[in-house]
Amino acid sequence: MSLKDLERLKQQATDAQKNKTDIQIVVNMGSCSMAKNAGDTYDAIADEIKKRGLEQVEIIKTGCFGMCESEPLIEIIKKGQPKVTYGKITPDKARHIVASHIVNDQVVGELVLSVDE
Amino acid sequence: MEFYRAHVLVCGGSPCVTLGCKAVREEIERLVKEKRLEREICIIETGCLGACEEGPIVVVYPDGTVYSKVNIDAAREIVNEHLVRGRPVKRLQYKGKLTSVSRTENKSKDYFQTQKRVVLENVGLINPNNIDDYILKDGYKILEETLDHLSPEEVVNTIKRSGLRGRGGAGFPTGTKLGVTARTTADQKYIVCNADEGEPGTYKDRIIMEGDPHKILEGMALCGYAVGATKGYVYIRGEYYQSIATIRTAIEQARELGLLGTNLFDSGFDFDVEIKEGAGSYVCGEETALIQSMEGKRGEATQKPPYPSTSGLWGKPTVVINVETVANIVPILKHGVDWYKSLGTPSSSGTKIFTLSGNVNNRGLIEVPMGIPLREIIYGIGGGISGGRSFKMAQIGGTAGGCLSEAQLDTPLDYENLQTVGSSLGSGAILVVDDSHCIVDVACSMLNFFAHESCGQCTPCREGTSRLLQTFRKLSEFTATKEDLDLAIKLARVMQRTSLCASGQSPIMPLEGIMQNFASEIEAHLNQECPAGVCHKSAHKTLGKEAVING
Repeated sequence: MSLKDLERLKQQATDAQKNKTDIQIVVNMGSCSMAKNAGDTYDAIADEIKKRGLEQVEIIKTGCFGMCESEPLIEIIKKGQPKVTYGKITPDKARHIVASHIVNDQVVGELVLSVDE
Repeated sequence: MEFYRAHVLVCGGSPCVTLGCKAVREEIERLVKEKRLEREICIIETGCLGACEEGPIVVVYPDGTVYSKVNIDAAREIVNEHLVRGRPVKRLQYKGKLTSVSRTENKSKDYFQTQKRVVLENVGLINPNNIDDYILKDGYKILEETLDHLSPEEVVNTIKRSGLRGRGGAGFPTGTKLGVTARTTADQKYIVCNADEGEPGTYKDRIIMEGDPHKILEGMALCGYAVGATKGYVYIRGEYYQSIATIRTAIEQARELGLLGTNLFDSGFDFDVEIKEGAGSYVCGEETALIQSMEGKRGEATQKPPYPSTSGLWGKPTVVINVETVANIVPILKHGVDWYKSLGTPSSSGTKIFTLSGNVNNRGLIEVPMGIPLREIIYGIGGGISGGRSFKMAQIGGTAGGCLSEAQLDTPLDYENLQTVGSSLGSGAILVVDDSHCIVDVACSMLNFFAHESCGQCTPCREGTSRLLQTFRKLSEFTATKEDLDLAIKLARVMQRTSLCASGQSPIMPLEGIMQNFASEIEAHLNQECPAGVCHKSAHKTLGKEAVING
């Protein structure tokens, strides 16, 4: 490994970032999230995405970012739109969000924790 | 399900009806129909949006544009410009904030506003199981630059000047620790990352490990370079399955890319990391007991000196460093000493991660600059006491930390100021207790933990913790006397002086706080009364009935 290799890897990762899909669903999967059944939420999202054939949607697992009280947390990142964070997402609510936010562009207001510009 | 290009929400709250929102809605509907857009645009009448003075309100989604004081002419313009041509009408847009929207939007904004994320900068943003995500955030670049441009002494001096102190509990200056090991000559030195996080209510290390594992590995490699160690261990408690799995994946990925192993960045520096799983004993978080456990012996503290810095794992100089501390190394070298010292207070630089638990609304993990008052954490970031009750006490730094009363809420949270109120920063756990809990019951719960976790090596701790628990159980059954309590405090003082490790030395800390700050409530129990109505006669006939507030 040399500095050049590291720079090359970074470049690759940057390119990969650019080529990322237009819609990303980030699911928090830390231990606290898992304790609140984030696994089921993740499965429901994956299933809903598959059933609807939404190939442009990428699901990303990440760690807990500190709002353990509101787990399971998911974030929806759509190109050109503010990032929306939802809290306390059960599998049913997750399916609702996929249908409403991902497909129909309707933010599910009552489940929203924050909207980042 | 119909797919609509846009949704138009027209406020239909009762104040707006009087302002003519019905006519506005009918006009929009008529125009949309006229332009044959009814299959593309959905019109919905909503409840009150909270800006009644500005009604009628019209909101257009997906972009969420809010129009206020919309009359028939304005409605026509919105349809023609915004819905047909896609150009929001700036002139008619509402400038303020809708209360119902801000209610849902602000929750996590308040949560993050006062926070300063240094250690947690990547946590929750990157995929911890993919090293590319870390490299994208300039990961391992600091390691390369340090190996290339800085000598080990310079690294030690940088850490020294930064004022970084151990985040695991004792608060020992990290630079000094590294310096001692660097000066000791030996054929092999070790870096041990202490991830045996056993303090009740603390989970910061877990979140770092699960969210940003490579920052720990890079920090460990930097420490290794600073002191001349080539081998690192992460001692993770066995219950942390996910942390173990994440760190393991991270180590494998780093090895594969040659970021761990031999001859890193062609500098001739070797460093590799292995995981050692602990068995979940509280005392193994103490550095000498941790080393005993790693050597395959019973996890018991040993006499200090010799300190691990000169004679640790297998008799070799060892740096035992907490996860949060090691995660501070990369930011310090990245942004420089001056930047780091600008965070926090002059004597306690940098940020601290606190884990909020107990009776607060926003339980969770926060990272704030050192020196922030406790009140701001509990009422600002924490969102206040849950269930509309009032604050009773907060225990800072885990079970071994002091108990602060309402009068001490404005104490700045840093190493020095907490010492003056008889507490310590400890591991950064903040346990908030509301007024529905009885202080004696809380004390029983703490003492039960100490009695359970005493390893049994030293008599003062082994016997003392049980006797303390016994006395406070008696107090909660209204059978204790003033003499019993005095004896208990005397006993805790003896334990403080004669126990080998912090486990036996610390029960005095919470007990003194409780006796001082809640004297009247203790007094009431001596007079057969429990103000909170929790304690009853013969409540503890069976063990383990204390309030389950720990953990």
